[in-house]
Amino acid sequence: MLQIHIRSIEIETSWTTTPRHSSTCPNGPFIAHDGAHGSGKRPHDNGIIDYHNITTATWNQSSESRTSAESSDRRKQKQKAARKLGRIFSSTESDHKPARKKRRTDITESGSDDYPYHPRIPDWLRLISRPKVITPPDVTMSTSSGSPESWISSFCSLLGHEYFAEVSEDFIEDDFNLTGLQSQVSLYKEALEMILDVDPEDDEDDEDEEDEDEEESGGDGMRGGQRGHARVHSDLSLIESSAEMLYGLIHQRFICSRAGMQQMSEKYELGHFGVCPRTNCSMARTLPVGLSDTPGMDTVKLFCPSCLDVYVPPNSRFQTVDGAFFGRTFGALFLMTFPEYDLSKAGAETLSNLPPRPAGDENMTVNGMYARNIAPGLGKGRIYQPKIYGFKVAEIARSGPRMQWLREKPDDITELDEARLYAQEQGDSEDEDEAMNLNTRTVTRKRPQGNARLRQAAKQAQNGSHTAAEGNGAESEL
Amino acid sequence: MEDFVSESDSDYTSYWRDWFISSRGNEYFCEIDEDYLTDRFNLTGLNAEVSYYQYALDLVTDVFDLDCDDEMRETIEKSARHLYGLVHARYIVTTRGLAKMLEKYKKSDFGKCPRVLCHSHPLLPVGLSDCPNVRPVKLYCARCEDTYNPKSSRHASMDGAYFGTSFAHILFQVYPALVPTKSADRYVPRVYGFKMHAAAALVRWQGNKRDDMRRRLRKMEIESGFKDGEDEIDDEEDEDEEEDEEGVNEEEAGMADYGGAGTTVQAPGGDEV
Repeated sequence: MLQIHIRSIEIETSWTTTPRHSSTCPNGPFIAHDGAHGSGKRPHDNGIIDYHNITTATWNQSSESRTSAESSDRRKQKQKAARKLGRIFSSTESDHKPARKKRRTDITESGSDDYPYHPRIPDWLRLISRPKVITPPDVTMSTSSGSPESWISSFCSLLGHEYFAEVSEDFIEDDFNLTGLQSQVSLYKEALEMILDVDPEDDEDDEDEEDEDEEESGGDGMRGGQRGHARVHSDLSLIESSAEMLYGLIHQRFICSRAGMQQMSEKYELGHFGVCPRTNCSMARTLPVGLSDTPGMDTVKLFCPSCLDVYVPPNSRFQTVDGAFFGRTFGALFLMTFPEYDLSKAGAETLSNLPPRPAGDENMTVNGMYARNIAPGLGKGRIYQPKIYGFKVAEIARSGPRMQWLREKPDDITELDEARLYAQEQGDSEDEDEAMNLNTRTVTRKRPQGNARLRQAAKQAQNGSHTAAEGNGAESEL
Repeated sequence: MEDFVSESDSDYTSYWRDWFISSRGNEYFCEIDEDYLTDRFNLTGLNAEVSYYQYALDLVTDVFDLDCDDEMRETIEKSARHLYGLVHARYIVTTRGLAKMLEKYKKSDFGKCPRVLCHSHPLLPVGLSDCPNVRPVKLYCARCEDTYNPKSSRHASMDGAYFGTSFAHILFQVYPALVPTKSADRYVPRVYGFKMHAAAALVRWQGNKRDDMRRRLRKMEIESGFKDGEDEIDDEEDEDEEEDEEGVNEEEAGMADYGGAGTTVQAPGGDEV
């Protein structure tokens, strides 16, 4: 039984490796590389530079070098090694390799036609608009023929990695973005090379880029020479797991940058992160978040902006994904970056049954958010009321409701504008706030300390804090 | 499965009810006692609700022996399932039914609460209406007192009337010892450790509501059900708890709340990462 199983895997492996090479390049230079790799020749020397027209783009460059460089047996070895060794989280993850292949074909068959989003097009590529380089049909074609795939995109297409955005290589190559990660990830340099699909043989070219790393870790220089050999050995799976950890940590930072936010917002719009399980949220879309920024603490959770609560993803395959790869910041920062999203979109039709919100003005902002976007899934009409034969269970009953506060929201959302209320209460009649003009009470109390700042906050809440929130998002760009 | 059905009544050993509750998608149902089903009083009014009532009842009680074509069988089969569901809603609020459902609840047969801070508390099925074909079944978490959609689509399409709106709450009336302790833990969205202002304001407001309720209950000397050991609360929530306590201590000093509002804008979340 076991033997049969193993054999079937092997067959599958060879199936994905061999046709991939032959079908990608009917005219054959890639096949030639398979042989050339052993002698350490660089793939680009052989004149396939015009393969995609864009050798200048690192993304393609590296992905090309990867296929050509990865001879089929090395790839096999890699897969075997990864299968053998458990990865970061659980031993079940070793099943991912075959799954990876499966998923790839899934994408090529259905994914690209169904919707404009294609997981294989890095969004930053779209953002910098180089339409000549990759047009959707091109990509579809190259995908179906099993074209070279970067480590990043294959990582993101793994089963259970659906929440991940593809971090742009530009982002990774900027050393500033990696500050401090070296101490958190073992085999840092190798992992980074793996993520960027840089061949160990290419080290000479990248020397100046990675100089620092070399200096910091003393024995690294010596190892550099042997790395070519070292990498094909069993520590490959160690590197693979380090690479996943490193990618995750970079990902945590990336999704808080502008490009990352953009990518995640597209995934959000398409509902890639699933919907809130809570009945009264009417399928509001959720966002992946971590409960800790340190890896190894907890798995990824889903934050529902509609009820401001976090939920366990429904599918158990996400229970192998570290929450730190998304981080605590992303969920809230997303809301502040895109304040105009209709958070309750999926449930729009049921909303009409509810009493109209007193906050009539569509664009009214409270505390830096549009009033309509502050927990739209909470408040009157959206709280579950336990009843027995139609009678509400009383609060004073032993089993009476005790948690309704968690789903409550003031009927008049402006009640939450604490700064304004405070200013009103303190009522310096002198100046700026219109709100104060409404306040007829004469105030005798002396202004306590710190009032000036709060007054400012109140002012901001009235006119400019929405933009301030947007500003925040922009500042976060790294 | 359908093959199995057709066999079940001819002279297959299995009972229809056994088959029904063990078939896929019907995991939420418990088995209704034979004598409950045969007592006509328990079925009052259902003949108006279920088509081919008598045949359906015969099928459910395994005395069905009508020769008919497949189409008819299909219809009767459907009615039988509907009938079983409606009787089920009545049965599970009886003493025996409650006990059976309690067993299933303890085994988490209805799933676990997806809310992170409920720590996989078992769920109970509830309907949002007692009339059939109005709303599908939902799952009620006694810890956060909210309802959730079942994970799998085959459960999500089941009629909520088969469980009824009252069942879950009757269960806790009958077994008050099972009421879980409540917790004030909650998620607070943060950006680089700073609370998000709009959400934090709402959280404070809700916290005040909660404290009001607890004070109300304390005055009436009713146990609020919250765990009192505040120190058990996770790091993440510590800060909020402190704030809440502040709120309680200085309840009458109206400024305290606003002062609190001011500080949250500035202070980074205590737990630096």
